[in-house]
Amino acid sequence: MFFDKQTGFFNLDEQIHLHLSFQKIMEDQLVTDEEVTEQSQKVINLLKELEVELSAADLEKVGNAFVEFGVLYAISQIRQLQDLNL
Amino acid sequence: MGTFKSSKIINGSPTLIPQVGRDVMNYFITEGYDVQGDSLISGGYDISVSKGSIFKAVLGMKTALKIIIRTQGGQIFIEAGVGVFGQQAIPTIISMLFFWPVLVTQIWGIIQQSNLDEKAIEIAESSIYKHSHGSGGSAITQPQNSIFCTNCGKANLAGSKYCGECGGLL
Repeated sequence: MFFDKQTGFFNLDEQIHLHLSFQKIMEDQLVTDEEVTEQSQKVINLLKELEVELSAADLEKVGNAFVEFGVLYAISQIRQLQDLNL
Repeated sequence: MGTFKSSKIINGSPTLIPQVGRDVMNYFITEGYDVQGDSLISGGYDISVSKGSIFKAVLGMKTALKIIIRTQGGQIFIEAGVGVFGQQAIPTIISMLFFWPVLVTQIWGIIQQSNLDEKAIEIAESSIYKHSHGSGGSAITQPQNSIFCTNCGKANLAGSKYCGECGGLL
């Protein structure tokens, strides 16, 4: 799911590239406010579904992965901003 | 990302940069890598080194070992890190992926396992040393009271006419 079985590389980028949502939005090479709003709503709905369908243990695991990803994204952005301020 | 790279400042004339760039490229070509080199407006050199089976493609763009050779404070600065083949900077669309740091970590791990970053710096360093003797620059700190033989590289006392090692004219 997350890693290519042959190479061991993280492959979420390939899944995004091939995903219908991404392909549809990027078809005209432009992203509109409506498309961002619609995609945001789609994510909110998916998260709500997970909250209902997953067991408490699975939900904690998934939630933890999201949070750790969020931490990584935030600190890498902060790191880049630090470089700009030098 | 500024974290995943190795760098070194080497004492040598910045005029050697094009030659050093060519030597680094030739080494990786001989080793069977895909190599692309571009001169920078600043006088530096930007080299991409990749191999299909090692480096992952991200959003259709091939990642690579990026070697930057440029002047810094009258010396030569060499940096080897993760980048995208043929691009001088990582395209915004890739760097915006929230998991890009995860991919960089994996690619950097492969570069370090293969010692590609160290090898690039080592080749550049030895190229600078080799060509310094013919250009007036020096890859090592040259004592004030000595001159190097252009034939064998031996340090001789300043003012000597002939090399004490090989007898060549200094």
